[in-house]
Amino acid sequence: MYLFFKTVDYFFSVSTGIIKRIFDYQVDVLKDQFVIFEGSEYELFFANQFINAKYDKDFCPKNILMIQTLGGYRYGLAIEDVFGFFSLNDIKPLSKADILNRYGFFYIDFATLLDNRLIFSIKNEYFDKRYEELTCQTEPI
Amino acid sequence: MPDGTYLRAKIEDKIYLFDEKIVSKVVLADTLRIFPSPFGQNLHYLFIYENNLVPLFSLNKATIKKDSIVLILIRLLDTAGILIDNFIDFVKINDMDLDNSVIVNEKFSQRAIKITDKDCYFFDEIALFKGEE
Repeated sequence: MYLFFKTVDYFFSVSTGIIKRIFDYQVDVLKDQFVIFEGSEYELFFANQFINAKYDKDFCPKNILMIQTLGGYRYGLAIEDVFGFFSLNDIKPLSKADILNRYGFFYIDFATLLDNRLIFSIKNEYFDKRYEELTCQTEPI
Repeated sequence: MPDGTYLRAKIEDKIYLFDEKIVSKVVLADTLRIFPSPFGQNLHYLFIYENNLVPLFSLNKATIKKDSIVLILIRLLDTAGILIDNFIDFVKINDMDLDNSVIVNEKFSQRAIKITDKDCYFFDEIALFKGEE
């Protein structure tokens, strides 16, 4: 199963295997990139988690998707709207032309059309890589 | 660049030469399902072609007009689209023409020749497919 959602400008989906939960939050913007979530424990989420997604300093996400990456990192993604779940059995995946890998689409597994929206499905590996890029960490916390 | 037949296409004020071997189809943009692209500096759009998600490049502008034309290029089973303003004709380019070509520094073009006093830029599809934005 995959969960699909909207970020600032685009629609993405992730495997439900890495989703921990979606929940309310209190945030403090520390830098353009990081926000601290204060809940039962301090956790990070990223406002501009997608490579070229536009980031507006005033952007205040409606939801945070908490994930547990394959590499053991636990953090949140700022997302605008959650639309629901889909199964691979219910959709017709679009293959990705190889050339797209050389234009920033390496971590997009496949795309599909849902309700006339183009949804990009992100590989789980992306979330480990992005966490390490943004925090300069290489070991799971 | 090999000798052979090239498609002359106009992109804004420039004329590009596309090797006919890589030109698969020429279609009107409004017949395709086109979406904005989240990634890529020169990649403003994507479109769906034969159940594939394919990049649609725009060399000089980022807007699609009603009369925009998409040139679909296929190279080694890889596919890309490029927005052109108009296509002119097919021209034969021989070895002597290639010898007279000059080096240029244009986006996706390294060589150019004059055809009836007009500069025509050889489109560098290898750079495009290698992702050299």
